[in-house]
Amino acid sequence: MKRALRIALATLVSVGAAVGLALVSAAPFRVNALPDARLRVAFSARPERIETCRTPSESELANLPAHMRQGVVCEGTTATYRLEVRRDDSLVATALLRGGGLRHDRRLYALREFTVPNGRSTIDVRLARVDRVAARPARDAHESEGVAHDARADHGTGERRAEDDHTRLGEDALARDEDEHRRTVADEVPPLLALRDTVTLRPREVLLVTYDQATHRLRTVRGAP
Amino acid sequence: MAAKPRRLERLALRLLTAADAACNRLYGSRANPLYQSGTIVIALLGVLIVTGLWLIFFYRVGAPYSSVAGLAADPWLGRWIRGVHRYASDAAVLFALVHLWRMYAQGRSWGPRALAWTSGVIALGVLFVCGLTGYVMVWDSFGQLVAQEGARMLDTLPILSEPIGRAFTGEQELAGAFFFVNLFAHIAIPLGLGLVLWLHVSRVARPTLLPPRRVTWALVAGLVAVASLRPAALGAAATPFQLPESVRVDWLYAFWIPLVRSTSPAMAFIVLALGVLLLLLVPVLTKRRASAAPPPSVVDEDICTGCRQCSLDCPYEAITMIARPDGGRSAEVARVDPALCVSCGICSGSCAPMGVGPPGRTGRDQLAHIRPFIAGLDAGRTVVVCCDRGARGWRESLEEEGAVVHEVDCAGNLHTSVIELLVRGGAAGVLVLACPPRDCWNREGAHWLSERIYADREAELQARVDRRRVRVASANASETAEAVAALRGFMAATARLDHPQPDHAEIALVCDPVAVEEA
Repeated sequence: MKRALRIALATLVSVGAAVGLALVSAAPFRVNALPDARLRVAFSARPERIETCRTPSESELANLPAHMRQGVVCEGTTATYRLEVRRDDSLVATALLRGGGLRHDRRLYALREFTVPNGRSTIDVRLARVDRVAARPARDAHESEGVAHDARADHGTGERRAEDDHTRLGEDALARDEDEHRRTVADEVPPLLALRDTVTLRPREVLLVTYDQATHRLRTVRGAP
Repeated sequence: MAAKPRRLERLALRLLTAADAACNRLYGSRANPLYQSGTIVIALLGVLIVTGLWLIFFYRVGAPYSSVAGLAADPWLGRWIRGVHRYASDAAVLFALVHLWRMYAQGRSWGPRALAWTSGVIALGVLFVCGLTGYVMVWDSFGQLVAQEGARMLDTLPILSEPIGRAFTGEQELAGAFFFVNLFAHIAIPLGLGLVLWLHVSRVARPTLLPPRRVTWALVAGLVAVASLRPAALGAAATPFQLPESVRVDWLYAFWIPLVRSTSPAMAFIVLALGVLLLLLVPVLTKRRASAAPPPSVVDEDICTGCRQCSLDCPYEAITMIARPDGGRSAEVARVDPALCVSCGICSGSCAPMGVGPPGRTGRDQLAHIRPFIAGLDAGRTVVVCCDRGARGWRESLEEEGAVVHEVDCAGNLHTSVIELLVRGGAAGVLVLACPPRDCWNREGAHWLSERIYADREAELQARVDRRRVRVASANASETAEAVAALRGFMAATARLDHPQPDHAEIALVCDPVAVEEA
């Protein structure tokens, strides 16, 4: 092969390879060929605790290091919820949601997407607790169900018990424990959340349904048109 | 001696040989990009680091898209440096895949080379992750697609209670911290890549890390040209509330996205994981049975003079010199580590007294094989010595030209005494047809042979041998025309010389040992 021809061919092949590389590097891919919109349900919430609480005995507490002593020891799990999504009153999806983690004791997370036709739709989203057991039977109910016993819920039932508690754990520790308990309860998702909204969705628009932690409600979020 | 290739390896090798021949014709063997695939990846990583360092000054984690859009809008530097960065990353993946294919086809994936194979596969994976974080950095429609689909796939792993995908749903604005972590990963991962690459070449002596200068510059020029003519794509700004109809996708990095979308994230994850597992298992799957594996070199300690040449020439650092345990004729003696030896046989050619090499392939064994060959050789015939891989392609054509072909395992194994015996045995000339220098399966075989013939490297061709009757040329197995042309040229040159007179004097097989004081 003559040198000039070889160089010309080599250049041509190199240019072809480079162009090929550039084309492969940015090739159009139709990811959403249809104009359908998307309903995205995404939120996280703290599920209600279902737990049995008891007051540890003095000997139990004595066996624990000071920093591990608790006035009330609670064991249990978290509630299960059913998520239902309807569009124009017909069921689109339903799913059971539980708290995260192996013991389901973490926050629950929802991330589901549903294709909905663009245009006007009425969207219903419900998150309802399915467990029949009343959440937190012992901690909130004074001395209910015999075995369960909540020392901090017993304020006013007897000075002696309070004195005992103070002796064992100290007022600060009890107050901290109580405060934490109150915050946890306040953070929990209500037994029923429901959202019904009629929206007109643009082609390929995403309507987000999420949970507002501050107001304890579901709400929709849309992007700017 | 290379182990016998398996069916799939044979097919891969046939394709590779044809592609090599085509590229040799176009670019010449010294600049053949397929021969340089590994070193080109390193050169491209260098380009990525240089352009990346420049780009980093303009990237803002608080405003990722607008900062990249600003770069893309700069017609002087920003646009083409970004383009070079992007296309270099694409080319790096492409050449890494070529390199992978090459090593597989040549059966260089098992035994002592398993570490290089495994680290190479890991390096490729790291390169992918690094590239993907780079696309996420831009946070355009493609970056968002990569992040969302990647998150969907990772969310199938039962190790995270909170789905990663929630970060991209629009519940909250994506925090600058996300882009900071992503940027950190994009910069930190290449550091890890450097470590993996060090491991990759740790078992080879004198690793060649960069391609020839003209290949490097041609590569850079090509990248600049493409980046200037077709600037790197920048999609629309990512938004969680509007789905794009179409996205411009880099298929070299995002080949897995259609799989996630068309099947399920879990299925895509399983398929990809199996693919990676299969690649990692190649050293096991291609490993030859002990009976089929070529045996490692052995040292005849009675012959070894302690000259260290085999240790210097070994391309895999498999030979070390140790003090002779019981004193003896030299201060040191060579010791082969069978775990590192790939049985390339380069040491056979490097040992002047012929005391080292794989069993049956030492210099002495070569002399034993060549003697009957010489006995049957008509004086005045040209002998072509070539490796069995090359001979498969052009043996018949060379014989039609009137040459006699003598096959060896690798031209780099050839002891110069064999050449001397052939010339003194009456051959008109000895043409050694080796693999192209950058394609020596045993890395440095052809190079060391040339040095022994022309540059007096230890185990050199003796001065008494007429150099006009010896030539080293190279040709790929499918370059029959080139092999024939080399033979014709050599035969024309030797035809002008006097008719050779056979001289059957024996070759001295004894060398002086290296004394203790000298060592």
